[in-house]
Amino acid sequence: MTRNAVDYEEDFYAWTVEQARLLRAGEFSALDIANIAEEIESLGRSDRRELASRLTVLLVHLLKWLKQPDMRSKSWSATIREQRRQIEKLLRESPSLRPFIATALSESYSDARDDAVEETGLSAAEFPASCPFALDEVLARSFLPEPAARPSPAVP
Amino acid sequence: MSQNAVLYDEDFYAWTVEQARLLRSGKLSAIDAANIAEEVESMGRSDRRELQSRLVVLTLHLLKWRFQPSARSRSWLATIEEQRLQTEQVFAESPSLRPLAANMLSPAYAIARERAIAETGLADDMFPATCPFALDEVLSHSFLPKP
Repeated sequence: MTRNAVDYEEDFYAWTVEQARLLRAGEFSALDIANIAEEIESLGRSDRRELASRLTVLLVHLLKWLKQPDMRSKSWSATIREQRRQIEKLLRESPSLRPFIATALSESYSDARDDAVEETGLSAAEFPASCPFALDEVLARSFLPEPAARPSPAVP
Repeated sequence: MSQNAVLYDEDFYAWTVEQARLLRSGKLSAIDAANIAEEVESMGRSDRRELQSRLVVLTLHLLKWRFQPSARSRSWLATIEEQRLQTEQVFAESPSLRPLAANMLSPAYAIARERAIAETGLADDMFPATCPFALDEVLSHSFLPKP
């Protein structure tokens, strides 16, 4: 660090300007390495958080679609479509997030189930304890869940 | 280096993990300096945009407060207070943005004026062509314009 370097804690905006200049000038010895690493890493973290949060919103709406068929609306299907589109965009920009989404599904489902109970006023027992949708279904643009009207061969 | 640039375009998340690793292990000759510079700079830009957008919302509500007194509400007051608090927060984190705010006021006012016309339905000559509030007034917790 040079003695007149702008301090990250004292003035974030001035810090960004200064660090960008040093990076472009190749003056690496003067860089604030630890804070740059922290900031770059937090960009990745925030993409991961966005993915989990979109997954939760998507699952809440799939659950409501399934359990409150007479309340179905254009607004619900628009939300479902938008979350899928944004998740696709995130996965396109960062294919390495794809394995993460499989593990995020069960965690997001547990949040989504709580939200669905809250939003529908239905009892928690109405909603399966673990995610009833496969990841492929959750992300497929064509998938919307239907209540089992008559016994399905897939269900014992 | 070029491998890094490919990674940046093809897998942003993996790129962030890799760059943080290279930085922390001191392998500075291997970092993707151009794209890191771009990302760091865009964090600063987004703080500048936040400031600009808060000034728009603030001046919009001050205008409505001044020119549509019959519609004044607690919700308007709450919005004004919230924008001032958040603007102070931006300045606290980045004091160097404070001098830039003076230059942002007039473009922010131009946008706020258009929105005020649309939202109030009042004639556009009701609203001054240039910002009738000083920056100090806009940001001061005690200031509310009188009709």
